[in-house]
Amino acid sequence: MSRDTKKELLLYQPVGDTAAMARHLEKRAEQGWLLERADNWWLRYRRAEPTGVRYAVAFFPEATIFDAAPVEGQETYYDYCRAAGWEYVCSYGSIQYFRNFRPAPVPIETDEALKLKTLRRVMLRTVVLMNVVWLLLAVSWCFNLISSFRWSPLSMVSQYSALGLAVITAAFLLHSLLELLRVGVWYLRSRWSVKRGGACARIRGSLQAAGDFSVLAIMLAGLGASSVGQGWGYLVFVLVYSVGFLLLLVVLRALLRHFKRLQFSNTASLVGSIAASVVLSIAFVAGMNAFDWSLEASLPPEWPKEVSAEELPLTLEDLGYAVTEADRCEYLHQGSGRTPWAAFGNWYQGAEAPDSELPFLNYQIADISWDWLRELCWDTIMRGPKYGNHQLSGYTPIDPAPWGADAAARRNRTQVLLYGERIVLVTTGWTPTEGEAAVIGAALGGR
Amino acid sequence: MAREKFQTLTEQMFYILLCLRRECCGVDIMERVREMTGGRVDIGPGTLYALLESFQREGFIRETKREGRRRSYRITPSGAWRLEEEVRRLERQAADYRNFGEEGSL
Repeated sequence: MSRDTKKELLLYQPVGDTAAMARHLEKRAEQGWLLERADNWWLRYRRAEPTGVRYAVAFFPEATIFDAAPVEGQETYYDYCRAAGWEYVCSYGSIQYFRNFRPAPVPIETDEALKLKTLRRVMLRTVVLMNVVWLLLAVSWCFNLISSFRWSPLSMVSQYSALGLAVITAAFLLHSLLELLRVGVWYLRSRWSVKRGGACARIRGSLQAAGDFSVLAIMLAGLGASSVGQGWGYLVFVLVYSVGFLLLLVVLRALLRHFKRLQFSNTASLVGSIAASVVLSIAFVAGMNAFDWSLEASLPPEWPKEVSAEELPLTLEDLGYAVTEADRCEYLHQGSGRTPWAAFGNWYQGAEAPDSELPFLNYQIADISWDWLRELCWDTIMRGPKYGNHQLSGYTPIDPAPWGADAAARRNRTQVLLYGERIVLVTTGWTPTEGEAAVIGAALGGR
Repeated sequence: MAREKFQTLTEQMFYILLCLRRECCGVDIMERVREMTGGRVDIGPGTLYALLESFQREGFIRETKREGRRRSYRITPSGAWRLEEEVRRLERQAADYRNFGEEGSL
């Protein structure tokens, strides 16, 4: 960047708030900077004598960012603008920038109804389409989160990573909905105004920018939340992923510029960009998976951890089973998590020897202090997990008295028990007797 | 009542069609309309482009000549009929005003 040129980050999109963008460019011109080029991220200026030039931002809906050359009718449109004193400066997709050195130039759009129709077409193809895609993605993430919750609710409510994902998903969902609502309200207000002979409503770009930055802040908070309690391997992965994703975007933009420099036809440029996006995205995902595997292989696995028998709250020995060296019994701490509202632990005991007759014992303990969350977890467990579209059977209530519990239910060889704020899931290789149930309840109930 | 597309013509639509009763290049229409109206009606270049495209689709005008990028147009019989309809509507309005619009005449 020489002293005669400078770049400026485009803080908000000019779609809709053309007046604010024009005023911004005029202010820069008064300071001695004339717009030279614009894309969706940057404005590029060149130094010139300070001047009172007028700027206008207009839209040519048929043009797209993939066009290497003006499309049908676009040059005729530029000729009409030139005849009115509007000199073409640059464009990015359908957004066209013009400047005029005449003192009181006729605006490019003098019919508000037609202007509204043009803006509507541009909005549908840009803002609305993009936010519908984001909304669908966010909804699919919601379904994934709900599905994961239904599969293992106790573990999820105790993990900051799940919280972080939920926050990021909620941010995307909310942002997309608000953007679509904002565009919808703008369109209805504009239509009402134009029908009564008035002008199109303004979309305040500053509000849009505030919304975008708020969502970005929420997403970063979600990312930060998901990193709590994770090892440095997780942070390295997130950093590499973020840099890789940004690089992918930069490469795709560079490829698009390259296609235009090579004077590809508009169709070839579009097809080439889509093909390059698909290929590079697949390569990116494959690369990140490979990096993830190599990172996992190089770092000691966090879970499960082999522990001693004394570290388990309950063992088969406590239930009267004789465990010998021949069984090659393993005692595992399979996972844990802690948030301000929930603490979780998962333990396992079982024989490694193939001819051992020892059953296995697995239990999860979750202390959930928020009543509504605990009830939600309980109800979700009782309903049973859902695997894809297949709803597995739920739990059947049983007598809690032998377990010393407030409530109890069974599904196959798994019992779910409620002890005040504590939910316990016990899976055994056999159906416990009443005596064994009392021992299990005393050891795991926390009373 | 909302204006349906081309059911009534805006001033800009009216003067573009009026201008194209003689063959005219698209680029020159803005200046001609300004001359015809004594500077009262200005048509923006973006609006002009959109209206010429719309009028062509509706069959109100047709392209008569193309020299490089310069395109010339002329009104069609359908367009002329539409223009006359608008004039009749405006004349009826003016007559209604003369008959009933004076103070205390109702």
